[in-house]
Amino acid sequence: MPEGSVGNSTFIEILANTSIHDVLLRYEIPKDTVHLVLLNGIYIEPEERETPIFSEGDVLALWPPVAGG
Amino acid sequence: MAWQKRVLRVDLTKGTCNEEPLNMEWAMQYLGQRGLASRYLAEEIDPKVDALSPENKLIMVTGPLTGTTASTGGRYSVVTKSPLTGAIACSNSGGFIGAEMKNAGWDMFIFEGKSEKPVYLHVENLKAQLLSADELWGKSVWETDEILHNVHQDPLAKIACVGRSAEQGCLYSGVINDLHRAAGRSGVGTVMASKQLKAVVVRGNLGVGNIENPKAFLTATAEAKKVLAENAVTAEGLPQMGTQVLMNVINEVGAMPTRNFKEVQFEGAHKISAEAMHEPRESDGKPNLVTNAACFGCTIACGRISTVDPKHYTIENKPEYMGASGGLEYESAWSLGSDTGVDDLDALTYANFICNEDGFDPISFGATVAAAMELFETGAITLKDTGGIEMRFGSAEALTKAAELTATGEGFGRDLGLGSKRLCEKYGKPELSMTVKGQEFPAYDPRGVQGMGLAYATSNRGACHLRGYTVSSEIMGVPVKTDPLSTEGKPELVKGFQDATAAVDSTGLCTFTTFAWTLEDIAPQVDAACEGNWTPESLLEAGERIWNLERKFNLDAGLTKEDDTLPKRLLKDAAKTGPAKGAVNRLDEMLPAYYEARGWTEEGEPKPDTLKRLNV
Repeated sequence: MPEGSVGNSTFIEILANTSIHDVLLRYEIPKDTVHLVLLNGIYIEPEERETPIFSEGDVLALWPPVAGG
Repeated sequence: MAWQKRVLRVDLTKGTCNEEPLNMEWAMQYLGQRGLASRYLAEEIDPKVDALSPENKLIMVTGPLTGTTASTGGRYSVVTKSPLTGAIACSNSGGFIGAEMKNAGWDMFIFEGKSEKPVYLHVENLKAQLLSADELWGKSVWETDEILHNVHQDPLAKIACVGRSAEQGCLYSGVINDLHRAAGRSGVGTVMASKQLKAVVVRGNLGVGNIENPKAFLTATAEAKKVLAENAVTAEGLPQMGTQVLMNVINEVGAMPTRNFKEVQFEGAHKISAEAMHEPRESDGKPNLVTNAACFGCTIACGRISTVDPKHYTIENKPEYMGASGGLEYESAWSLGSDTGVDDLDALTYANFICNEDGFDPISFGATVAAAMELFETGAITLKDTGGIEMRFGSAEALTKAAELTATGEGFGRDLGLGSKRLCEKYGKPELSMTVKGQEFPAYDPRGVQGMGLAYATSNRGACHLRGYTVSSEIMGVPVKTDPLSTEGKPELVKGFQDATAAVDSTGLCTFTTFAWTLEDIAPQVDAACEGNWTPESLLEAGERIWNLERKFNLDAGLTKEDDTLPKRLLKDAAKTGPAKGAVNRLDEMLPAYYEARGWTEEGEPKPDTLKRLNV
């Protein structure tokens, strides 16, 4: 996690036209390790991760493949 | 083959143990475990019997792959009529006793009648006898396990038993094996205790042979293990984080039932999550999680072994709780935690220890405590009813005291042992019970995961996530991603999950393999081990057969279409936050299409053609 993180979360500033993949690149997170991508709790399809999508105050959550029960 | 083809019938009234051949005609249609034992139960008892009467039977049953070299091939089930729901009950457990039963030469133990005095069954290979449990009655699971290992001077014996909660009539007591694995749901342990059967001790070294095509079996199981080893969930996610990895995920998607389902997101989720279990604590610098653990033959190893913080109030001067034991799974962390509003990880771990120690289902217990807290906060119960406990949401002290009382059936613990439905009815607020068919919900709010609402409403054992886990598709995208907030396609999705799960639950394998395996991976293993021609299609058909048999049992027991529903709170009160904000569960959009997909009438009864097609 980047410096200044609390637990598993952090605040980041991004430019207006940033995509989810841009965020992954910035933090050197390999694309293929990210499976579950939620923006404000809503699942983002892989093909939507290349285009600018963010608004002020959005919450992005990333997970590798997870499951349980 | 793969079956031992041998059933042990234990008549507790007469005190006899007799061997009989396994009904292979049924085994070829229902495989083993859940399916096969349900077939026996439907044949042998009147579905209308009182679940706690001697006329009910209790079946401990393995699957054809139990005890083999297949990964996760250690599962066994306990099948009976449930005292909690009045429906058929099948509770599935891992650990080691299933494989031990098989190694002792048995597919199934059928218990019938009721003993005059407490007894336990001792099985050493093909020798089986009932022995006095006078000294064990009134002992916890952990005490019973230790005493029986000492009495038989056999550290390798595998033991399943009931705790004090079951003896006291708690309606959601389970059968605990290997200290902290549980056939946990629907009160199967309560039935066992009602028969004055305290424990089953098994030692077997006959081996599990009878593999129809050993070479093909070794190839198929090795291939399947490779799939588990190369899948990120089964190779990394589950062993590292356990099922608890879901705590933050489900909270983020707004499907985390909170404070008795009043809300759908819990502000304290991160404090009781898998990530929190890895964090070193202040007192001794150690994390809650000590290690992961595997059941017999499992190459996933999702189990959690934990300790309570040595400085925590719950274990002050209680050295018996200072060691490592079965830790929090997602379900127990949710029910004991967010459903009660308690975010104290150590209080939850302690309460979970107590559930294991005295054998009661943490899901139903936590959900019942949550209902009691809402009853208390709305004034329906008072300090007089609770024996002085301030049953308020968020109170760790109330939760842990409630666990201690439920374990022994003392004071307010007797009320809590009734389960949420009967508790809320007793105090005049039935609408506060978050149950289906009398069984408490697990950890997914159906306002945020629409398919789960249908899966809960139609589950044959009452509210349950393991009867049709569409969360896998709706949230995790396995095998394909579907929209959790849409009802479109959900009837077919739910049916598919229900049928496939019924088949897997009947093989001896663990359902967690299905995060990596499909029936395409499972069928070659079953086919190589067993006589007959087992394909993904025939397994799915067996699953559908099992589902319809269970349904027919429930209808014959007196359940109707009216029982296929959800509490009003989930159908009328919209989610307040998160992606599902403003949503209720739209069960009415899904249920008729589900009945049609199942080949049932509008009244939810299997049509004669459906039963004929499936040979039910």
